Amino acid sequence: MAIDYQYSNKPDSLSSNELLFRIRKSLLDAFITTLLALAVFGPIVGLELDGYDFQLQLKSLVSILGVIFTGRLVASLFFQTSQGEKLLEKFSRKDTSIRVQPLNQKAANGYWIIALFMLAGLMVPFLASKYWITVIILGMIYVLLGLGLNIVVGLAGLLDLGFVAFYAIGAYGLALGHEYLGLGFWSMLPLAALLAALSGALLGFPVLRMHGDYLAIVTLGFGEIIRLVLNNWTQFTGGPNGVSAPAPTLFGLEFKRRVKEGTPFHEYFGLSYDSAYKFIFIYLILFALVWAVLYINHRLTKMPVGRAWEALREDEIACRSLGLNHVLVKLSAFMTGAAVGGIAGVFFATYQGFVNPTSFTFFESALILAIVVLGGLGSTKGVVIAAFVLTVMPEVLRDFSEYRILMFGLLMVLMMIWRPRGLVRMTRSSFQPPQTVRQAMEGVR
Amino acid sequence: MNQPLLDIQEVDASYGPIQALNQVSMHIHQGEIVTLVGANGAGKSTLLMSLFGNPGVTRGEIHFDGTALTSQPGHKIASLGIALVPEGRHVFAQMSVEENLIMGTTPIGTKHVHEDLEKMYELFPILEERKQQNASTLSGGEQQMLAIARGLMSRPRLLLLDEPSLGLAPIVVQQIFSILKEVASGGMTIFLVEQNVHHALKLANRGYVMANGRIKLGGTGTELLSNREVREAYMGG
Repeated sequence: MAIDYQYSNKPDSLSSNELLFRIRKSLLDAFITTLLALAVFGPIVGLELDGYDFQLQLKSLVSILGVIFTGRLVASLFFQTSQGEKLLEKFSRKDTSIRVQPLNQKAANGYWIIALFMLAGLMVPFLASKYWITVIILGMIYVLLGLGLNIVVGLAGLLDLGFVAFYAIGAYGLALGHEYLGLGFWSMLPLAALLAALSGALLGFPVLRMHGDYLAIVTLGFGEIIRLVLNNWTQFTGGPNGVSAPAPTLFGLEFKRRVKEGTPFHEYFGLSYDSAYKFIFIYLILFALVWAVLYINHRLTKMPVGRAWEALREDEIACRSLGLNHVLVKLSAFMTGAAVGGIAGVFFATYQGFVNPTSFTFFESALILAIVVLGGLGSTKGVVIAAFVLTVMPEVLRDFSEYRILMFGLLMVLMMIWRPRGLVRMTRSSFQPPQTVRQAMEGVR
Repeated sequence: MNQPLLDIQEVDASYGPIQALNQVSMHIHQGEIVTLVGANGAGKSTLLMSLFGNPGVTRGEIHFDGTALTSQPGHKIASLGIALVPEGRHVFAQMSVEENLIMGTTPIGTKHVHEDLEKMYELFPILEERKQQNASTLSGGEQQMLAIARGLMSRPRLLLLDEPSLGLAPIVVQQIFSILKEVASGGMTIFLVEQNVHHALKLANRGYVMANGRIKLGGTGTELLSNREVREAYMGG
């Protein structure tokens, strides 16, 4: 309020003296920024090694510095206008807490938006090229991974740096299940989820007493153990050579050009062969599954178990004093998250047609965690957006692929300054005691 | 009086090699306010924690209304009718005040929740004013009130309080104690662990003094308050 008051009293036209002062201040800002840029870019861009010699690349250095100088000048001039100040004020507000929707205030009705997204999503495979379908499939796989880790980190507050282990278990589950047991995509999908959930419990038991850093280190180790086992158990997993994974089938119809028995998909429907059919099919299954997981996630946060996860994240001692079984709460979070990760792994394997341990390095875990943190811990919407940003953006900006990690870093730094709780702050509706009870109470009064 | 509500008999407990409780015996009858006072590290909080099995009791027995607590898993104990208001408040920071209170119903379910919420708002009017606010935005005193109210939401038969005056201004401490008196006048059995000897002993029917993991003294509140040893040890003579 105080700020508004100050602004409203400002004269419309500035005195020339004040304007001069502002320009001088902006110039000074821009000059300092350029000096800093010179220190950073000078050695990197300005000097080019040539054998044992180096050459000065003044032209590119000067152009970079010029862009930075003008950019900073424009920015600081803009931020001194009333519009700019409003923008700054909006960004500098530190909303670091979770937004809780009051009891009587209903959430904005977003059904039509959901319907719109569903429709758009369903149209994609029939309009987009095969390349874009595969990109979006990858995006959705990361949405699943993000949602899975979001349960563990965002809701239950257990920092898991080895989430890739469950992803690997799902992917290898499909590939090895096919190799040794002859199981196809559809039978392995639930089995892999189960397998991942069980290994989640396996990880969960020893880390029950751990918090924070210690938990992070143990989970990190777990992720590496899984990868190393996959890499070194050559007789069983094929080691670094990997294993091939089966593609999904539509009621027994395969998506290959030629099949050993029966008819392939395209012949059955009298279509000409197109390798994109397989990806369209994977896309559609995955699309349905992502929505299913989103729905389950939404319901879970409203169910007692979801509340228990959040309570555990807030305060473990309080939880235990209230008689919550913290063992069950932690294990259920680990297992649910792991199951979702396992499902993502199955899709990854079937989409690639092949798995090997290099797909499941620590970098993957870090990327999934980045998705959750960037999206906003605990925020489902945020995770979906961040998953697409972090997987689709590198595809769009393929020309700048050398700067990919730099961009990640920049994104993270900017986020920490302006959006410390992620792109979309976690919002949840507040607990509601059972409706019937309240109505009964109102009836009595 | 007949059988005590909480009966602790010759209990030993230790953290690894360090023995924290040594032959501790005490009892609380229905409707009593009993306080346990003692210096830092005397084992007061450990005694409360050992009711919940952490650290586990290595010798001796604890009975609550005839049920042996030592054989129960920690999370079952709250549903027997014991509510612990933990030291340092431990409210759920990112939940609203009302949600914190609803979390308190975990052991008994939400059958009485509306009735009980109303009762709590009557007892702590400040909480009603702030019921939609995140608990992290409350002051220390308000958070302590919230923690107490959350404990009461499970309709306990025994309320355990671990240092409710910790880090609060004297005037707020007075407020908290007068509320505790009000709660007790409704027939609640209260076991209060405190450093603030003066307030605690004035409120309590009986008190115990603990030092080095042993119960040193026991008696009525006024007896202990006038006891020279207690005065010297805790109130500077």
